[in-house]
Amino acid sequence: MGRYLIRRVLFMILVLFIVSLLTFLIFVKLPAGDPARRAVGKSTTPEQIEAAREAFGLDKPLYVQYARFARGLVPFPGWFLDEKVYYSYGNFVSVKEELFRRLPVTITLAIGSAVIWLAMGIPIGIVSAVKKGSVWDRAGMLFALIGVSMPVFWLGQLLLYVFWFKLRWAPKSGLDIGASIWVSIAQGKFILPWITLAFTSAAFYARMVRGNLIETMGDDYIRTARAKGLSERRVIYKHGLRGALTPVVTMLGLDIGALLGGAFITETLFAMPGIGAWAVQSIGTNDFPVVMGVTIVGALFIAAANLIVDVTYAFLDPRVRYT
Amino acid sequence: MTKSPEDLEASRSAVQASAEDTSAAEIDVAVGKDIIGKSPWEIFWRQFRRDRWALAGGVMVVIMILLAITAPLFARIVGHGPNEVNLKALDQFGLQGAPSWWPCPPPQEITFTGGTAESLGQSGCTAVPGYVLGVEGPGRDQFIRILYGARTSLFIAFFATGMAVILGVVFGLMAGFFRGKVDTVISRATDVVLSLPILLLALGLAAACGTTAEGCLGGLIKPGLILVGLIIGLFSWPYISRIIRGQVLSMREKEFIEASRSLGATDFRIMAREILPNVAAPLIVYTTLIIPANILFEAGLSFLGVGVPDEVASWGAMLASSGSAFTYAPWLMIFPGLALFMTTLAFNLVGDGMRDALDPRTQV
Amino acid sequence: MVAVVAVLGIVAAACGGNDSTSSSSTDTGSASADLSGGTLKFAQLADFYSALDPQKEYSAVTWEYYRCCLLRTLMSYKGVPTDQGGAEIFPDIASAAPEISADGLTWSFTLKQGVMYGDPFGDVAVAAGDFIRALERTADPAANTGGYSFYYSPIKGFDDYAAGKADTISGMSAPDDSTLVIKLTEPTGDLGYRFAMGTTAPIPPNGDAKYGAAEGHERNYGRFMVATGPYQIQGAADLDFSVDPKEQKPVAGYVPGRSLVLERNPNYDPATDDLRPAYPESIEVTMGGDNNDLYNQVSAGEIDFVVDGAVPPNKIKEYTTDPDLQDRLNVYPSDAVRYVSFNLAMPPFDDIHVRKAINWALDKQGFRQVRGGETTGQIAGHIFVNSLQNNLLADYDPYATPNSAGDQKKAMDEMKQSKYDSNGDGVCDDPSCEGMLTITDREDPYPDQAAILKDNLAPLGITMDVKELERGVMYNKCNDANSHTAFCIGPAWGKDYADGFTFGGPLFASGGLWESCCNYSLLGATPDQLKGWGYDVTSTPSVDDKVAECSAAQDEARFQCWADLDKQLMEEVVPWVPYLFDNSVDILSPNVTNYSFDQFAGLAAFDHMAVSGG
Repeated sequence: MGRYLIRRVLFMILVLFIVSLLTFLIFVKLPAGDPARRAVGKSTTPEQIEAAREAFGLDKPLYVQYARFARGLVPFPGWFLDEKVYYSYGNFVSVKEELFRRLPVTITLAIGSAVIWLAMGIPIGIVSAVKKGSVWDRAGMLFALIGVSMPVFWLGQLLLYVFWFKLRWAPKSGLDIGASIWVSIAQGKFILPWITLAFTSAAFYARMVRGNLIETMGDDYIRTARAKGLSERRVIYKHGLRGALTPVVTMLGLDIGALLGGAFITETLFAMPGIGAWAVQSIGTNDFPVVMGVTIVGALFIAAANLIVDVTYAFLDPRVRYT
Repeated sequence: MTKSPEDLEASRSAVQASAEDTSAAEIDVAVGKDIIGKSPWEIFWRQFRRDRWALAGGVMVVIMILLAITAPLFARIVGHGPNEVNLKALDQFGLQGAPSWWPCPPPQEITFTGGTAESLGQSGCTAVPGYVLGVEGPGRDQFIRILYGARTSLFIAFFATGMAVILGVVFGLMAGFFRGKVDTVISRATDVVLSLPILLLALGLAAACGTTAEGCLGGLIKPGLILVGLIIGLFSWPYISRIIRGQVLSMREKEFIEASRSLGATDFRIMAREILPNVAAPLIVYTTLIIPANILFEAGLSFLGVGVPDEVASWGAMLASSGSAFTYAPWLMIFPGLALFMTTLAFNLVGDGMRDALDPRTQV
Repeated sequence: MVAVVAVLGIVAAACGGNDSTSSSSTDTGSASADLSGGTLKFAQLADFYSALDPQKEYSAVTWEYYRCCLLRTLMSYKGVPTDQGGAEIFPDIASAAPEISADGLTWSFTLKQGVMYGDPFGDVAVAAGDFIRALERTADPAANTGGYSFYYSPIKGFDDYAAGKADTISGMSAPDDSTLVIKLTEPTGDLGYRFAMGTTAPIPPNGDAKYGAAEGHERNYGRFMVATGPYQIQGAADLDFSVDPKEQKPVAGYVPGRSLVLERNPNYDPATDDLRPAYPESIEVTMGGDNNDLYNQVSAGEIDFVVDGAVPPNKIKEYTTDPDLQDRLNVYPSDAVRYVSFNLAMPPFDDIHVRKAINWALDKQGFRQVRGGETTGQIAGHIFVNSLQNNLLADYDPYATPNSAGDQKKAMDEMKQSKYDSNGDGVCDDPSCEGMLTITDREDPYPDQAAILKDNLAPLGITMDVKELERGVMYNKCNDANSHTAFCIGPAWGKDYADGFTFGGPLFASGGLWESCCNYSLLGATPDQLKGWGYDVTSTPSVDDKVAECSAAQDEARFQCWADLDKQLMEEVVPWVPYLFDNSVDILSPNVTNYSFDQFAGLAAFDHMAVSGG
């Protein structure tokens, strides 16, 4: 187990290295023009450009430049998203400060929608699998089909139109000034964004659970359980589900990890001040230290989620440790 | 957004099932029975044809392709191209006209403080004759633009997915066939790409290279449809690669491979002649499942403003600029969204149908 | 300055005059106890360009926040339309109009007593030396990026200080705390106006720091700003200027990119101020969101006002045609012009016939229509806003076409005379006419305007490669001579104060070239400059002499001079196609009970807005 853990951690570091390299290349090196000038943006003084150039190490060799950026990845105080390099010239704040200020919104979005899609997707998947071929199954899979075909932004706009503009059930988009996350949740500000985010995932999970459960139920050990005389319900819940749900756990970890990097479209649509909306804004204003910071933090979350999921998997199923 | 195909297990057993079918048929023939054996393909198509939903999806896809191809014809019939501006189709406030059949309230004269009598008409929408789906932007024909948008989506679907398939098949074959170091490297690479924050990097690439005149790499990477397609393709090949690798791994040990090898076939020949045709079925299934994801990906990028340039019609871009328009011009938001939804639905239906044809157990 | 507010104007334009207004409840300026109180809820699409730093901010929106609420200056405005005296300056911190010496070179201001700073400097009174501090920071290149320091060059020693050759500005002195003496290098009749802008607002002393409270905050003094107006940024009382600037925590009430809350300044004495009614108790500003969505919220009463948005066409239609809503729609000319600029160093724009041809071809009516129609302004036949020339050129439109829709034939006739049309058929044959780099704002309706322009220019053989960019990035790219932008669609320019110099200087004189602001056409560039920016073209026309002549002229002759410059620009230089004299259009929520238009900033006057319900 220990060796597996070490291998996975090493792999995670490899991934982060590649992400940081790619990010560095894409945002700093690839575009035409002087990166310092691009970062500092709007009307600037030669002094500010010089300062940026110093911070980015543009006069130094390539690997030094990369190192300056990569340092921001390491969760070491003083290194993590250090202010000199990771500074938003667009908003005049350090990336770290603003990131942590926006993190609660993104976390709330991720977790809230995960709860909803699990609560929707898993039961629908189970019912569809158990009552395969019936009306329930068809209805469930119809919902799932619609869910995976629906563009997120269209759904969001439809929801906003119906529930805010027409019915006035939902509060206006965006958070109130100074309101804490809990207050905003209580105000119902997160409901439409949660539903928008959850809808597609609920559909995916429903299909996945259904597929896995059907297959698991055809397996031998289920036949054995049935032969033993267990009630159908016990067969499903005790034996079938475990096999069916393990992939769900895997996916869940990955999905939440990805969402923690920011749900760009949803946040933009509902004016939620999370990391994703900030990243989109910053891409628009060419504020690339922000984008780099967000990308790297997003990668960290995904990698961490991957790690946790893999380790949990290995814990549950020892065979995996030898892959 | 994009996800790992859920039914890896299902497809693996599906291939085994169809492989067993083959051997059963072969045995029958060998025994000399007068049975017309069905190849796995024929079994596959027969199952597929039985599925009404999949057929419907298939028909929708075909219609979409036809519409996309004949778009210029429609443009000629209607008399305007996708980028032609016609300010007369806007009312005096610059509001886009409604489709010719839309139930707009009748015009009424309204006077208002300081207004001139002739300067005002109605407060509702204006149905404009000759515009089947209404007016978009500065007086463009939304119907034609949606047709041309189909071209964009289909281009992305086939180009990006095609790229993903090519890369995925090549890497998957190599990883599964050669194993050892090659496999490790390719598998790690696959895992890495799967772990990347895809949307962000895609956004960044598209924004960095797509919004400046010079593009990137000294003009090598220029903004446009191709760039978007490349980006999407670059990020979706791991899904294919994983599937193919899995298939190849399970097939490697089979007798017909051994037989070929003993006949002196080269690795390449084995991969191309023996393995490839046998992974074709799951490959097609997963390709069709990835297409809708790629279409939505492009729409998402366009929605966020970093997709295709303005002259290229894109459903995502149309939704971006008209999304909050339902309060006064719902047709701007309904039709592009519907087009996107139906297209994705059609491909999903086809993909589902194919997957169910391969493995009847998961069929509804 | 950059006019950020996009606008639609109905009747004002239809009536033909420049200063007529539609029905609206305007305030005469007298404070009424009934109107006080309540919280104004604003929405702003974009954050401030420079995080509210007074020495950097050069936009109408920020200037309104300074004038109405945060920063008092020596002279200031009443926040009313022109016909009520809104374009004139009155003493604000100065106790009376300045004394000017006979030769025009020495100005003396006497300050009012008892004008106190906001928290945490509540017990400090504004002193004359504080203005010198502000001007020094204005001159400092480390602090003034994006600003308008060029207005203060006539002050003796200003440029020397800016260049680092002196420790102080020799021409400014404070014989005592209530007297400020300014010596100039040349007579500058409009100096009073220049001291009504935010960059001259006093900065309080802090120990012996050179820049007082602003010391150490070169990048972002806005987050530490000490107010002098009726309001301050919420949380100002918790600012701690006694610690090292790097350790100081910025003010809590301004969260960049997210929100700004203004609360009453407890140290403000209304008795010292007869310009500002300051009705609302506080102003809460949220940033971000979708333009149309925000205006829906205004209609629903959930927010009161959108600061920098563009009223969408459907709302204009709605508010224009519904008798119950008409008095919540306010339309005023904002003294701004909207235009498409040419880069005269990019072929084929180095040929005047091509530029003139485009002036003939552009469909100005169409451009206005997609903005929202007649409500949004008056078609512009020339560059300078009419009020800056005393309406001398009100009917002047050298490229007039039927219905202002453009005239293809005239355009092609003009093109035939160009060297880029080798066979005289009216169509450009040169490869430089293809794929011309065009930058436009990506918010509506600018992409639509780009599409119209494409349509207009196609018959002339000119094709465009359009890039849609975020507004701030657009302005930056248009301004940056290195970007080789051919066309810039989307900029607007408003007067900084009621004088033609505010157009002539920054826009067309060589002082406005990159890296300074706003001469996008590159007029007056030297061959070395052009070479340095990578152009093959070696010279561009210059109007520096005329600008200098006009800025020295007085009274009637001055108006006439700017008018002559305008004509010269339109006929002999052709740096732009101006298409609209902008109207400011606002809609208000049902909660707003009072409204006035501030002619200075070209926006609603925030301090005059009263809100019911609280």
